[in-house]
Amino acid sequence: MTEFFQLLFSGVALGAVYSLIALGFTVIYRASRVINFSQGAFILVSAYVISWLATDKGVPFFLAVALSIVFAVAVGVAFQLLVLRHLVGRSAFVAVMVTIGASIAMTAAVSAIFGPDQKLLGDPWGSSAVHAAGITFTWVKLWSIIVVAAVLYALYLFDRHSRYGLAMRATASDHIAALAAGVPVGRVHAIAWGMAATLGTIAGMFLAGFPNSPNLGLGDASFRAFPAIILGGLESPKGAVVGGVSIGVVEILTSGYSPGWAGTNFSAVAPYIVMIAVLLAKPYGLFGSVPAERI
Amino acid sequence: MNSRHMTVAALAAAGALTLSACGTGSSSNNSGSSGSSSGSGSASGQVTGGPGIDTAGKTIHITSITALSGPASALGIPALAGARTALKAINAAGGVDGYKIKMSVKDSGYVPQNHVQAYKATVGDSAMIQSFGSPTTKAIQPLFDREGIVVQPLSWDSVWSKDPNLAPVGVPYATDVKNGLEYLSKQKKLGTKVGIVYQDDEYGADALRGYKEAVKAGGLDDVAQAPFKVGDTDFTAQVQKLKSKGAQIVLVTALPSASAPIVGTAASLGYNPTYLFQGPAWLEQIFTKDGTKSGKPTPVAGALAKQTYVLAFAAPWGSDVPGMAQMLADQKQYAPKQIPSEYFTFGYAQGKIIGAILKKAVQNGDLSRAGILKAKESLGSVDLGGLAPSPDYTSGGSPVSTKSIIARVDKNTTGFLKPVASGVTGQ
Repeated sequence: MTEFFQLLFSGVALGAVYSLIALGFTVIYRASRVINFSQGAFILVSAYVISWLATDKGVPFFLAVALSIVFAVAVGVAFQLLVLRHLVGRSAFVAVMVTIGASIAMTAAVSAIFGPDQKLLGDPWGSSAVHAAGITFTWVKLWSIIVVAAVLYALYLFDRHSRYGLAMRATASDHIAALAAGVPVGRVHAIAWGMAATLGTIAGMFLAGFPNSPNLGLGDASFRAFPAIILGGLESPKGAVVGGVSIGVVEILTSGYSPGWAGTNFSAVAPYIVMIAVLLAKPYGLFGSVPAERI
Repeated sequence: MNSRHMTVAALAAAGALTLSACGTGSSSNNSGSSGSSSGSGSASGQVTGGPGIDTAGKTIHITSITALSGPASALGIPALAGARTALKAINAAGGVDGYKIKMSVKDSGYVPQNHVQAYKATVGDSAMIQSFGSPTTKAIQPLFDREGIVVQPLSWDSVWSKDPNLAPVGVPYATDVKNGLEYLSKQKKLGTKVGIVYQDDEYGADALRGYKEAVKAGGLDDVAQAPFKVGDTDFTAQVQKLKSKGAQIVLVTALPSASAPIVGTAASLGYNPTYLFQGPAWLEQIFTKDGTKSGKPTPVAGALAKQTYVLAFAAPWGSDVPGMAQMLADQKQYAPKQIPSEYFTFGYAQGKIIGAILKKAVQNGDLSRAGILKAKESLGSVDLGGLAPSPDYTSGGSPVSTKSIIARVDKNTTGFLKPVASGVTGQ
């Protein structure tokens, strides 16, 4: 049973990071109906910037994280204002392809600027852990769970109790009507990109933390989070978190208890099986809203 | 969620995957370019030319298609530096019977379709090709088999020995694993309960084959096999499996981006077995940030230093083998900024092999593709001064080398690998 709870804890912690990534997809989709395929690149860039500041420049770790968030937000907002803003009215496919292009460019830039060498994140947690009932709780995983809870609460407060949260919901509902009502849709889009960049930075910090390190494959984690947003419903922050945690737990538990007859890669398939099963029952995801269309 | 957008997302993802899977369809230019055929052999002092051969200028053009960017670049860069150093030293000493070897470099980023394009763009002007990686080399294998060019893979896949066009250096994965496990268990007496954690791809499958052969040979108890996917970031499940089954020796078949987290995860769970790292799992930079003794230790350095053995591709840096002094002298002259690197040593040994094959071809008076292939096959055992296992290409389908080099991770040794045994063979 100890083994089960150890795996469950790891699954929840991994799922917490998937949730952060999924939330990044969700906030942009809600605001602009764009599925941002460059979210993984933000994770990658942020992890390298944190590493560079904290280990090469001697900046205190949490200040390095804050500066990395500032940098990522600047890049995200600039990308929205300089590129995506001009694609309003074009098909969603165009915007998707542009974000794929941005992802490739950012990944190549990281490789060119930082080189292939091993990086250290410089985080204060390292391998430190607390042990209870035979289970090891590493601090980096504990903090990832705590931070996700805090971020979700902050997003809830923003969404329900702030002017721009209301504007974002109005834009998500109907951006043309919102525009007609005086909602600053362009600013809402920029805020969404800034939020997604912040979420990507936090996810990058935890993904590159012990026992991992910043590496060029880090951004691929965004594709692991993809079943989470489909499972939860692409428009729902709550769905992103529930979906992320579910996918993380399923991935780790199936990796630990995968039956031999299922093959060696069952844990990679299992999240998609769960996703398809949920979509069969709820085609718009667990928390997705069914669109009402005038006939 | 809007179903239209879900469809668009799915199409975009599928499109990206499709694009990445596509290669070009044009056939390669198989004609000689700078080369000019002349003469009929060494007896008359003339050499038959071929693609990549400039007989007038006495230059042999070869190409290295390697990974200077992307996830494998940390391995590709020092290996290329090693090969270049060896070739510079050969050229400085007069070349191969007067011919200078000129190596061009193409970066494929360890992406098979880029590799294919680089191959097609360069094969017409190359007498030999170096190819980094297993999946990438397999992507061009039908092409070079058809064209009959000798290709030197920077990879240790067990199937290479069956392809006459390939000139691998080193012990194949499966043989290396079997040798290493038997050595640690039966000679070092470090335990009989063995487990393997491996990435679920061709590299892992090759290692698993060797692992099973070692178990089948007797005396080892296979307690756990734990696969993982490339790109995994959490290894708790794999480590927990090995720990709960009590594996005393754990074979780690991974790349450095996974091997370090595996060891770190195990250490955090209070599990400290003897590790046997397969060659690609090791990189100096998983011990310190910059791979040097003065560099900042990584969070897993302590766990690695406890009891980690490595199936080395090449002799540990500075070890007491006959070829080391010359390599270090050449490194100092031609690559002075190079830090101690197993991949550099291996690349240097590969460069020596290229020189040996081409020298034999020149002596045979035939630098055509067929002539270079014939030279490779008739080369016999090549003495690399202990820098890497000496290959023998006359064996016809058998591994070109079967004697493994085993080192142990040691924080006080330059390059962090302390020689333990060489010439190790299984039962």
